[in-house]
Amino acid sequence: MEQVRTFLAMGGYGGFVWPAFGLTAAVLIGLLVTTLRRLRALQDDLLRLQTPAPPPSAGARLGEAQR
Amino acid sequence: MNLHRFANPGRFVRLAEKILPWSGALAVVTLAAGVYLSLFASPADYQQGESVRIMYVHVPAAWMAMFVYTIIAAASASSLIWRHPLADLVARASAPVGAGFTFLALTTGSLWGKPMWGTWWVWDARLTSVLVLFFLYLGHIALSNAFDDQSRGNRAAAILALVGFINVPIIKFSVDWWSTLHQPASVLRMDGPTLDPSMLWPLLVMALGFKLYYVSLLLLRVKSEVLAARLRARSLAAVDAA
Amino acid sequence: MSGLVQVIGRVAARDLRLALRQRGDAVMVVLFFVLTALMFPFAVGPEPNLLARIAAGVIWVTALLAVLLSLERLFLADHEDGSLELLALTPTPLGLVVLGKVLAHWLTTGVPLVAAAPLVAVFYSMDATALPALVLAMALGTASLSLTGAVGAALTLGARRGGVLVPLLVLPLYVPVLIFGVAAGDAALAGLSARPYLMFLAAILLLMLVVAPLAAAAALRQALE
Repeated sequence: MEQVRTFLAMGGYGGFVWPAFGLTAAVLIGLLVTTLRRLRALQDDLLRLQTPAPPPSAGARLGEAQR
Repeated sequence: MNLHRFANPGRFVRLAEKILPWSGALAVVTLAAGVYLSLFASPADYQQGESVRIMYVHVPAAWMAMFVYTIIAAASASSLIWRHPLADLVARASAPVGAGFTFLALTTGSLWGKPMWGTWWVWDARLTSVLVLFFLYLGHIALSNAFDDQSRGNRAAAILALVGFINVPIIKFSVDWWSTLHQPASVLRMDGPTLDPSMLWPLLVMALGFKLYYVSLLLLRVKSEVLAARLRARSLAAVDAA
Repeated sequence: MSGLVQVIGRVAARDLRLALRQRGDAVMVVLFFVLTALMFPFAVGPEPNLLARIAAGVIWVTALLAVLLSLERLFLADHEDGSLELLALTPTPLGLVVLGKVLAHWLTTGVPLVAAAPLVAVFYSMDATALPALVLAMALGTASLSLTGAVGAALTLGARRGGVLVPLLVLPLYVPVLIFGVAAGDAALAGLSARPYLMFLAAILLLMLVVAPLAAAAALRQALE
């Protein structure tokens, strides 16, 4: 336990070292997450457009075109 | 290498999907190794103590900030001169990532500077140049999104990227000069200590990890841009058909 | 060669004639410059030593902002009334047109600013021996500012919020001119030679004389597509 505490304290600089690494992780992971989310949304949208429409009534056809 | 083989977006996406698992896995492994080396398997500095470990994220982030800008400049040239269809997408996909690295360089620089110089911001030559680079990135992103016509935005941003790229050495030179004028000669350099191998390795591994991360993320993001373009085309076609 | 100069001259003359009809524009630029520069003593106090110390910096920053404000009208009017499109259709290289317009812009913006700078220097108790270097630096610098600004103005033609976008694009590129311009003034104040800084400013100007017309012309062509 003492060793863990010493490690976390980083010789007194813990308040600077950990936020630095933490921010780095946050930015790298954050960029990845937003990228994946956008990719998934685009893939879903494309799938929706590719799925053939159900037997069209005039209203449904119009609705699909408007998207 | 004939880049025009990859001009076909569909082909690019298939290639990207093949590479991604490998580059992604490599990135994770390298970054993990880098973090281990940075936090556990390297010594503290006799002058800066444990705070020198911040160097292992700050310096690679700053290197990536410059590297990505160079990629954007190359992509911009490719787009304007050879009209390579993927070039615009590479630039557009890279800009926010480059801005992210620049932001990290600035903030980790602040976190490193506070214990070293007692203040959150220091007009050190490197930090100041990175700050200007940050605004170059923001301008690029703003310009590429400032037009209703996406392709107009991309091409305007491409021109801006090239003009910016030409000016970057000049900006760096002027800021370097300016900081020597306004700061005392015995300034702590932000590279930290002269690098002993025990400190060089963590740095290089982290740098490699960042690069692999960027490549993987870029493949994902360009794939997104290709899909987005496809979506726009299909939506337009659907409207036409109805 | 003389043909090129003639073209640039003709474009510049046309813009100058238009500018003369709206004399107010150049006057407003100078007024903004002087007025903004006069704000600082109210902010930092009237102590002459402090003011003399920041004089070169204040003059440069406010001149820079004044140039920024005047950039929007560089291409906008011509773009809106279609004359830009006509100019693009002529066999004249668009880069030369840009040079002509920038020349006119500098004559109606940069030169008046340079002329007004000594007045501001007086308000800042700036030593008159520094003035020749400062004026020369500003002449060189404002020309670069006009050139670089033209690229920004061309890139944002037809953009949403183009007016706010131009400073974001252009200010980072202005940093070297600002640094060396102030350095020239400060060097002269300290009794040192301003020559190295004037040379840097001249070098930047030469570079932008080549780069800016090319970039701005490419941007204009896109705007017209």
